[in-house]
Amino acid sequence: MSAASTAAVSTVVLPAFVAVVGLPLARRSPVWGREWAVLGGVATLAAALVEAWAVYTAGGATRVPFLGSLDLGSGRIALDLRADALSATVAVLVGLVALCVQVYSTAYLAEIPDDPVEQAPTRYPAYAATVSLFTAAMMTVVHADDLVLLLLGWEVMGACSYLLVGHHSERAAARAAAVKAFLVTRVGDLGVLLAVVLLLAATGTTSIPGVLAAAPGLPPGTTLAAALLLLAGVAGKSAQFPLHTWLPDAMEGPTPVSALIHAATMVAAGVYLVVRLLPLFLAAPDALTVAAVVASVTMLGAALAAVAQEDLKRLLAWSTVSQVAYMLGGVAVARSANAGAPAVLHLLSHGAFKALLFLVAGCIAHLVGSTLLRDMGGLRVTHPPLAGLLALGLAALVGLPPLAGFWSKEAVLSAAEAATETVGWPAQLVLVSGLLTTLVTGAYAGRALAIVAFGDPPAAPARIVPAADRLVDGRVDGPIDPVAEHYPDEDDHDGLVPDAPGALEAHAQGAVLPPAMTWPLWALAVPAVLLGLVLVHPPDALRDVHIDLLTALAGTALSVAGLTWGLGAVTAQPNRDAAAALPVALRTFLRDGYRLDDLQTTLVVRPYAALARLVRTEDGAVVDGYVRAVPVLARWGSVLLARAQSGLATGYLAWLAVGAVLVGVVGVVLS
Amino acid sequence: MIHLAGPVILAAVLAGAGVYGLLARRNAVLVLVGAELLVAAAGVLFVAASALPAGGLAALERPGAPPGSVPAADPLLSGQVLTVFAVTIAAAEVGLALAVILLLFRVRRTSDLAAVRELGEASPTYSEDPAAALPPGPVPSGSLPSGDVR
Repeated sequence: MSAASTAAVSTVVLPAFVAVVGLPLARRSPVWGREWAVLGGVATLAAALVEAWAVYTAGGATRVPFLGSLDLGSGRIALDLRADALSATVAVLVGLVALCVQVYSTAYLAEIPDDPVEQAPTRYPAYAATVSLFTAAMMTVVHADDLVLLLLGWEVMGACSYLLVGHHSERAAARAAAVKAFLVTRVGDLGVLLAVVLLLAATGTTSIPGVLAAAPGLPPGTTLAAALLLLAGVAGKSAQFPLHTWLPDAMEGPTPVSALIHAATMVAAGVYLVVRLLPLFLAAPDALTVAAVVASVTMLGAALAAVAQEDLKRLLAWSTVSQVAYMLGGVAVARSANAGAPAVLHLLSHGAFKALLFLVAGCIAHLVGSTLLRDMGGLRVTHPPLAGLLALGLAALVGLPPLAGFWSKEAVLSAAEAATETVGWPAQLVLVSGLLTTLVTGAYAGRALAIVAFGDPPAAPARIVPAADRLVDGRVDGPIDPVAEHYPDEDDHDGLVPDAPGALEAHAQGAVLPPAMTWPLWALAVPAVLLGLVLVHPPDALRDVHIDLLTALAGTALSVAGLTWGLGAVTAQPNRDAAAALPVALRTFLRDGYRLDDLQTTLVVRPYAALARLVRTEDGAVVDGYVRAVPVLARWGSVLLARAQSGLATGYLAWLAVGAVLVGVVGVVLS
Repeated sequence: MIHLAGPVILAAVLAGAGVYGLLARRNAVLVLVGAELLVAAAGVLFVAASALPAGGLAALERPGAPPGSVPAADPLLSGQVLTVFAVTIAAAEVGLALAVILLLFRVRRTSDLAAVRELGEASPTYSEDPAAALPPGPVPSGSLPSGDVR
């Protein structure tokens, strides 16, 4: 077994092992549990790096035996892994972000033993184990050489996402968000399952190379159906319109989880799936057209929604939806088997800078005690390094040269521009939508930076909470969050303002970030800045990245324009919110995500709930009715029969005689 | 060879008398006699039927058959064997039934079936505890203890 194969298997097995062992270990000893989880992250990253090194020096390995094979009679399913340039590249990103998140979480979810305020349990052991399990599942998806194995990892990812979004299960909002995330992504996952079954029926194999080799020869209807079903799964997992509604709500989870799962890795898995199965999609160009339309709608719509968010994490979540749509748009204009490179590059750079942004947001929330933008401000003064990292991440998000986001975003736009002649209107749509989105991205990034970093620290700082787990993820007023259950320190900052004159100083200097929460930021800042350097010597997975000068200039100019607008409000003290320029109705509409949740409630949730109530009523009244009728009927029957029990022996004999006569008559008649 | 009508009419009379005894009589001994009459009617019919040739009445009345060509009866005489068997069992049954009636008489000083209806849930004298429903009066010596009666 080559080094690449061993490393590929290790990336999957190590985090799974760490998850299984870590749970009882962390219960027994919190210190060792933390060390173990971080050690697992280091080992996974090391395995991914070894795999990448082996793949890029000695070539990849396909068909790495992993779980043996299933003989189904009608076909043989070989549960193999593969280690090629694409999987190794993405595996390094996953390993890096997972390690940073594990380190960060040790501080973020730390128990404060002598905390005077009663705090919610952090449940760190279950948390760390689930993150490790998620890493294993993501690595399975990345390395899978077989659709069934891929589906396995895909579903485990969804389950881990559910568990982690609902980690603070004492909060009703977290529970609701977890259920929503699970159900909405499950709608898409059904598509993947059906697509796998369809491909197995059509090609007789679920091996990815086998399916891809057979794809051009299949009937067009089959490939189109399979591609569209897969696209449904991609839309669910990658939070694309119209299945994107779960992602902003998923911000109820702990912030490191948002960084790992809902920004860097799992939401990118949908795009990864399209890149991996690109030959199948190329055999069904109509599916790629649908993907292009979905991506165009999502990227611009989500960016506009991000402009009006009042919560930093939700802003970043909408930004994630928008940026993942960039990746999908980049792969949707591809017309050759290795044209997914711009999307992969954007996947990598987005993973780095968005994880950085989320972890920075977690630090800010840790300091401020809230994720609401209105509670933030003056970070430039209070925590200059943090403000610098935030600016760096936002600049990478906007795509300022020479940061990572610039290269990847312009690569996507250039690919769309280059494809306008071969692909036609879908590519033009992606290009126009992408250029507009850069403008809007600049606007919301500038707005966030203006609010968080500039100005004065808020005059009424939220409660300073030492443990981030007790901090309250901000709530958006309005129909997004029909949550009745509130913790006392939620949304009630007005009543809790410390009246002491030293509160501001305490806010400015008292809260110090633990080192475990700062160095992952610097570790992630490195790729967020320097990822463009890989294009000097592009690895195989990124070979086909070209950047068109004109497109890059236009994109950068639009980004800067948007950024200027967003930052322009800095001078207009005291209102640093650029979005205040928008009409209130429009802001509310955008903040609530176009009220799609209301539409979803009306179209899906209410009818479904009504159906469930109907079924429950039927079950209670009809099905249970049969069971309940048995004793009632038996009692009536016994009352009736007891009347015949006269105690008179001759009476019984009379009944016997009547019966005998009846039997005789029946016998005579029937004979 | 006698005519078939004799045994059949005899059986009918016996059965009719038996049914009358079962349904109309209130004395337990006479009800038992009625049951025995029913058993006797069945025995008569068995014996008569065993004399019929194989194929039964249809074989006798076959049109166009030359006289004297009646098929032989069942050589094993199964009807007669069964009747003897039933008579034996009926004898044992009568012994048992008379013992029950004797016990009833000892406890209640009556063999009237209409007077012992305490076990029927729909009867006017029904009680959950039949011992409490015993008529007052001295229980004759030599009878079973009341606990066993219950």
